[in-house]
Amino acid sequence: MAYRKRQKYEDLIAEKDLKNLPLAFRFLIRRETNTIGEMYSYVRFSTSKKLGTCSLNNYTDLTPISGIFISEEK
Amino acid sequence: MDTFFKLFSCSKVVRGKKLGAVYLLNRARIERIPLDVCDLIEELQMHSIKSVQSNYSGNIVEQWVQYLWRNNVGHFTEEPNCFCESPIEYAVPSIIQRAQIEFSSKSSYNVAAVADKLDGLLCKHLEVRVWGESDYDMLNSFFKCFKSTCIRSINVYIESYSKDLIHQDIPQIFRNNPKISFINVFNSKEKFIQQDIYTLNGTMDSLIGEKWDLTKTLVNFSFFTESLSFNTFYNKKVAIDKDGLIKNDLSLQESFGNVRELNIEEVVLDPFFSRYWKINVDCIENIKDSELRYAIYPAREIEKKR
Repeated sequence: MAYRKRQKYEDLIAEKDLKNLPLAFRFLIRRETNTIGEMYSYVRFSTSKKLGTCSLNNYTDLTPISGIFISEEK
Repeated sequence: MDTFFKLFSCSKVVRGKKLGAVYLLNRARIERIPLDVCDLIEELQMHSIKSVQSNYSGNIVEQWVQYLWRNNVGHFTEEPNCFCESPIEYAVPSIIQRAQIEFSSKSSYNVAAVADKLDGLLCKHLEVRVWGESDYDMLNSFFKCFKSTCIRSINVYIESYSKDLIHQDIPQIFRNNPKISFINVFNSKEKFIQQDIYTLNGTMDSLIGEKWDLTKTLVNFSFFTESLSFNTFYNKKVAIDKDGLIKNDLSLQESFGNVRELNIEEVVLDPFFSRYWKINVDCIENIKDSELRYAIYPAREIEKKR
């Protein structure tokens, strides 16, 4: 990583350093929340092909994105 | 000690107007039950089986408890206070959770800029519709814009692709972009290419134009909790059509401006854009009385009742 010193959490890690990180990194943006839930607000993924694999970072939503439904017969 | 019958935390009871239902959220199933049994289950959560039985004649309570137990709706326990209900709040950090983008070779808006804005909104899931004839370079440069965003999955619909290059190009695009969940290519007579790449004979217009079947149910924890408080069709979603118009969904006529002139972030944060997000199924006629309503995806334009 380019930055040795401890950074403020608002600072982004340079794009070119992302590929040296393990799969992904998260930095926290503090948000007021009424419930306990996800605390992270942002995840960035390396552009490295090796790290950007389906099994490691990909999942589909359980709510449909639109009203498209194509049956198996079609 | 007295024995209680407790629901599993993933079993949720819902009342309709005529019937009730138990949603088994971890097994994608719904058990329909009479409304009286909903009352019975409610009593059982607070009182022991023996205590509830004294309020009913015959062995009706025992029969229903056995039925519910056999169908893995709940369990027996002598320490009911040890088992708490699972939270039902729906909360995600994304301002926009899902987005639709329509694109063609004639589209004149800046896709990279849109990708950047969606990243800022923490968009996680994307649907892409590519109209007209597309080619490898066009698709590759399109998906490249989303490579380092926080998008987790991309569903792709392509209207048409050269039959000479489809076997070579489409799998390559799929390999180059691991975030793509599946690709549907229309107007294609090709047979099976590979898993998660589908070719369809019909036109994209006709197949996409078919309305979502409202009798289809979606039973899972995430959808259920979102359904309780939000309209799952509208909530945290933005759509950009091929002319750059910003909408709640691509099937809707109403637009909120053009991405070429407006900042998407400002548009989605405007209360007028999100005015239907909280109109959940409890407020929608024809659905609100159904015991299955929290499993229904209400993919229809909302019209205010006069």
